[in-house]
Amino acid sequence: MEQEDYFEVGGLQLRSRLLIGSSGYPSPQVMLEAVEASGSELLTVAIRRVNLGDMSGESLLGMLKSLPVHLLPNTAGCYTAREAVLLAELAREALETNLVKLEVIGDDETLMPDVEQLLQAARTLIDSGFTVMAYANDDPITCRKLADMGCAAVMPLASPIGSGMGLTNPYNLALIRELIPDVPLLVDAGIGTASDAAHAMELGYDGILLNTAVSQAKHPVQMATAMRYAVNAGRMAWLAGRIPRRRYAQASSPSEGRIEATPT
Amino acid sequence: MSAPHCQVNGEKYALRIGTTISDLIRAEGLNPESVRGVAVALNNTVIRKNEWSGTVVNEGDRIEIVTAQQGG
Repeated sequence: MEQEDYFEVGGLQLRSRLLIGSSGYPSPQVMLEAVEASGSELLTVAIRRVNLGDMSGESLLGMLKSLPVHLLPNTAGCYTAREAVLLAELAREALETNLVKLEVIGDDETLMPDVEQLLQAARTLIDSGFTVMAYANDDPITCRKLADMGCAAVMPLASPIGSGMGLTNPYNLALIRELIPDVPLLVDAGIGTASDAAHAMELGYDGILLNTAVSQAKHPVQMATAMRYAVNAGRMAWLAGRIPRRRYAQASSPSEGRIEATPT
Repeated sequence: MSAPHCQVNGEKYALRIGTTISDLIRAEGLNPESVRGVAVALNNTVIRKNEWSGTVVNEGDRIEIVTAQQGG
């Protein structure tokens, strides 16, 4: 199944449904090993002012060249549509890609999207030919608007970025999937451990974007492997179709042919 | 009257007559001809790489020189 079940976004055909971030690993070497172990083919990077001496620019890009990944620049840290649009334009120029993970946040405490600015930025970027993957609130209305305006993927949060709180509102996430069956949906942010990723995939999501759950795990490479399995397991379970929930037990073994013991 | 300045990545930069974007890239220790993965905005407008050497920077201009960094 893994060979045929591609995830398509922005003209890319990906085997892996796990998108991973490049930030916060104990070392560049661990990052490379973890990304490789995750099987991910789409890696997020930030766009920041050049600063000689740190791991950025040509040294980072040179290092990532050894991996079979496409780069997905983000607009992390932007508070307004203006900032996000300029940063996306700079990313397109620097990395020669139309792909952008659009992030327009409202405050430092929750890092939750500012919906008004997000919608405005998404509209502008789509009109300028970008392939927009939009980080969104777990709100069906916002997600629907982003999908309708032509985002290549809509990515509601499971819980705040870096919190590791998992799926705080699986009901909303399920609702969003039901209401938007026609546009790729990913759960982005808040994944804490493998079961969170599997759960989101079991709700029918097309993929998972995560970073901290792997980079800050005690053993990042091992967690990356766990996430790879979890995303695959969740995907297969969704495709296989879960059984309906029942309020009462239903025996699996036949009731005919049961033995009887003589009462004493 | 003080010498003309622009802002490069938020820092004051003293301009000489005819300073171009390429000169600013060089001042960051990068080679404007061969550098990859770098982009420039002049007053909120992206300047394509092939326009760097012909774009003169003026007093009060704000320049951003950016690249990829680890991010989530």
